[in-house]
Amino acid sequence: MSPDSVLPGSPAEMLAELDTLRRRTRAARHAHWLPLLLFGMLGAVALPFYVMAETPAEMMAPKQVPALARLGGDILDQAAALGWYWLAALIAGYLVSLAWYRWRGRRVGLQSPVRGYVLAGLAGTVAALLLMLMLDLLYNNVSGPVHDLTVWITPELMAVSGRGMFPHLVIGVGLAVLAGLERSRALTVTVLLYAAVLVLVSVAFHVDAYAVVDLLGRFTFFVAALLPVVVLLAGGCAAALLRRRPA
Amino acid sequence: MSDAEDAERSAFPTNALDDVVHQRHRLGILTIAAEAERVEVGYLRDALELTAGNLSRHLAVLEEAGLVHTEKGYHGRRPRTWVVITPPGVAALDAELAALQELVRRRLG
Repeated sequence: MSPDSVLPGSPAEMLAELDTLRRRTRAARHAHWLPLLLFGMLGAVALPFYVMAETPAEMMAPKQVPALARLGGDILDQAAALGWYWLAALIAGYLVSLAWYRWRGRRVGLQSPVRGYVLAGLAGTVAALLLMLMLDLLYNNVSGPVHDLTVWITPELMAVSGRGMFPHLVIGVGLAVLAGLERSRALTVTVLLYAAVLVLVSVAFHVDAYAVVDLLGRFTFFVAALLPVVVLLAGGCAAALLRRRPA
Repeated sequence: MSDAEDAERSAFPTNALDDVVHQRHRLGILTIAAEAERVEVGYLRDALELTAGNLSRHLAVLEEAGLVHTEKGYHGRRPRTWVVITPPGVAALDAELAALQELVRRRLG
């Protein structure tokens, strides 16, 4: 066939050939196993911060935590330390992910459009910090009309943020954007599972927080933070084991 | 595009096939390039099983039509050429795939 000859075979064959080419290319640029393992490990390192010295009391006074360290919540014993850790870990995690995709893209010869993922992650980190400040304002400003409109959700979000779980939401948002950019079904499934676990953990506290605390004692918040980490590490390991060699 | 042209394309899907795009390897180049932010020439050569000269010819045709553009760079000391699909390239690829799908649909229908 000369380079300029027309397409051989039927249109259906041609479409099938292009589909194969598209799937191979997509598989060759999938590299989400590293961000999954990276954020899973960052989450695992954070786990000791979630262990309380004693079983949490029914009523806990929130701690004073610097605004930039609010990602660690305000009820854990080491909330401020956890907050600083998560701030550094999230920023580093997204920057390392960007470097990973750039390095791998140069090596394989296929560069993925991951800027949106990194921007979503960094913007999500800032948004989470701002949201916590906003929740404080909404909760304390009881006379405003906005308070009346948001009172159904504000305490729930404050409970989630107070347990230091907002960083997991930031990770989830970033990974959801990455799943879209990579057009990866496997990553989409992992993100859905991760989101389901986060919802499950939150709902467990919402339905009966005292029962949860009675059952898990001083490891209550640790277990809540552990489950999403397990999903990330399991998803990362599965993706690493099942990844295809570049075409 | 006028209504008359739309009607003609609808009546004969082959009219929607673009001579520049409707070539097996060029269609392959656009398909791969549409999947990535940019793709290195070496990857295209391996994936499409083309010689360097052949690939270069196809890229020249696509670049002249404004469907892709190339970027020169280095990986270490090795020079690299990257191919980026342009918005008209994405549109041309979509139109070509739509025309092919319409042909298949009519054949089956």
